[in-house]
Amino acid sequence: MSTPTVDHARHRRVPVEHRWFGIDRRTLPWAVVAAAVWALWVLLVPAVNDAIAWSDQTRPGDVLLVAREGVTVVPPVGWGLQSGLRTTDRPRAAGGTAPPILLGQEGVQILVRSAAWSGSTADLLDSASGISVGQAGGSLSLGDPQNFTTLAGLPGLVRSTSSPRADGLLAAVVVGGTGVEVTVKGPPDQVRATAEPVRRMLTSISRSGS
Amino acid sequence: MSATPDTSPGAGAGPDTTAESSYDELLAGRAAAIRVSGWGAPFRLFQPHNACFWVALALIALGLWNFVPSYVNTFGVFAAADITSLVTSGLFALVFLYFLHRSDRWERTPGRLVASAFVLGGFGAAFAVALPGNAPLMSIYTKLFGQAWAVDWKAGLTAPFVEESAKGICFLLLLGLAPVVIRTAYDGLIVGAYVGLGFQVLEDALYGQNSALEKFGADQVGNVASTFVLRALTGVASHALYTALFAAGLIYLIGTVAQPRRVGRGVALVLAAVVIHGVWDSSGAIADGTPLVSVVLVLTTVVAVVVLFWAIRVGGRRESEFMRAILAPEQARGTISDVELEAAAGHRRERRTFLRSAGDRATRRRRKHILHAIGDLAEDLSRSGGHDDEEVQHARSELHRIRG
Repeated sequence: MSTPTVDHARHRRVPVEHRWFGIDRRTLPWAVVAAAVWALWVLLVPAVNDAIAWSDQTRPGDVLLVAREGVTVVPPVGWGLQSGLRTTDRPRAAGGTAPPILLGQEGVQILVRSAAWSGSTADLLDSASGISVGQAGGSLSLGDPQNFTTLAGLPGLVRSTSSPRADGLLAAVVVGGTGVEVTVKGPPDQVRATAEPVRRMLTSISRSGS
Repeated sequence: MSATPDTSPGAGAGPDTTAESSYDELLAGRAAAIRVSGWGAPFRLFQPHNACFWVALALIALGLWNFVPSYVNTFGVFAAADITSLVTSGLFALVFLYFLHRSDRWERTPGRLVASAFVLGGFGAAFAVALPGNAPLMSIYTKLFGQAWAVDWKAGLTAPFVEESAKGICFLLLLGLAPVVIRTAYDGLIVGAYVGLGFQVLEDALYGQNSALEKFGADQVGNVASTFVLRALTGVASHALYTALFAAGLIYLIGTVAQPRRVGRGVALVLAAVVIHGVWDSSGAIADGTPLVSVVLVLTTVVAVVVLFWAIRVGGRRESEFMRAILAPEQARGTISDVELEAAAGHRRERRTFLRSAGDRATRRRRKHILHAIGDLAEDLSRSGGHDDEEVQHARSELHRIRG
């Protein structure tokens, strides 16, 4: 493949022997390469990803790391762990923040995120609610906040969420100086069917030693 | 405007008649340099007969399609973060634009090409390819090698391939759109850097919003500003640098009428961009989670800068040759002196020597103006095809005026 030397900035008319549906055929090589690379990353690789099933399922006894400060949660058994570390995992890059936890099963997704938080649990839930509504383009309706207490005695707040396509919940717990946000969403029937394991997971949030 | 061939060395302070034949050779050399280098050629983005135009347009449209909703929907929530990231990314871009403008010292890259490279890199590479492409590949790594491995290596083994190839195809499209303007490895360095800068600025805007999201929307200005400070401090090893190396490597690999193909050098530069990017993104895992991560980052930056300066040095040789050939007749006719030609056509070192040898500040300033005016003259000569038109005559008169 050689460099195209067609100067279309200077010459507007394509020589007849190179014309193909109004396009200069000599400009096709780079255009085809560019389109092929785009197709590789945006069509082919996602298709390969979709074809590979999640084999990493949560097992009895698993404990997931919510924050490096020792905040953990016990996931429901049998869910696909798409992101997140078990407390038994030992990545080389031990510093930094813990990756968010993403669990999935039959269309229901549980996302657990953490960050330093100096405000109250109610402030955290308000802030998380505002972001969720913003991200949903205003189509998300929220239920009233309800109190709950984890098995470790930590106070938390939870509210239901509802959008035209999914139901779910939004929960917040503040553990020391760490805020934990849990988002659950999925088809309404599936969310209802998984309500009990999700409740157990919420109440399992704790900090090492507590 | 008249455009007559400058075949009259007797005009002005030209050489005597015994040197006429050698002067004609210099003029022929100038014409050949302009023809081969493509200097002075215009750039126009709108080229409906060019397939590269339509693919570039599609990438920009797809990028906007992905970019706009992510900002419009959440602007109310992240307004402070968005505005702060816009300001800080703008500052970052201004610093790099200044650096690139100063580095673009032989042939000046057309403004429209610079703007096209920036937009294509920002919306095309970042939002049409990298954003949708990164996540699936990272997901594959996680599925195949597990969570802990993925935490360490997925970024370093995804971004260098997805993002460098994304920016690489944007550069290829620009090469297809401006095959006469982009002809040397140095053109690759400059245009590639603009593609990378567009990518960097748009990516930083996204990072700004992500940092606000990760902190649940609290202290958005502070979080975005701290991200900006971190990226500014470590900004040398950035997308502008990676893409400059990658694009220069592509020019060496492909070869042009102005730049003979050098496969080894091309592969080295492309690999350098990918490896430096990968090591940077995997620094935490390479340092085994120890504070040595700072050492890894500093060493990576040093290597990146060394490779960049080497690429500028070897890539600039061709530009220097063209500049020398274009200005040689001006030296012969006495418009510029030997040392001025050396400084104008040489690398930074020759330029610095010329300026430092000035006795006082006023002389040094005048010499700077003379070099800029010589650059203007070379640009006008290139644009006119070596002919003496009004602009060329004006550029020469400006040189005389500056000399007083």
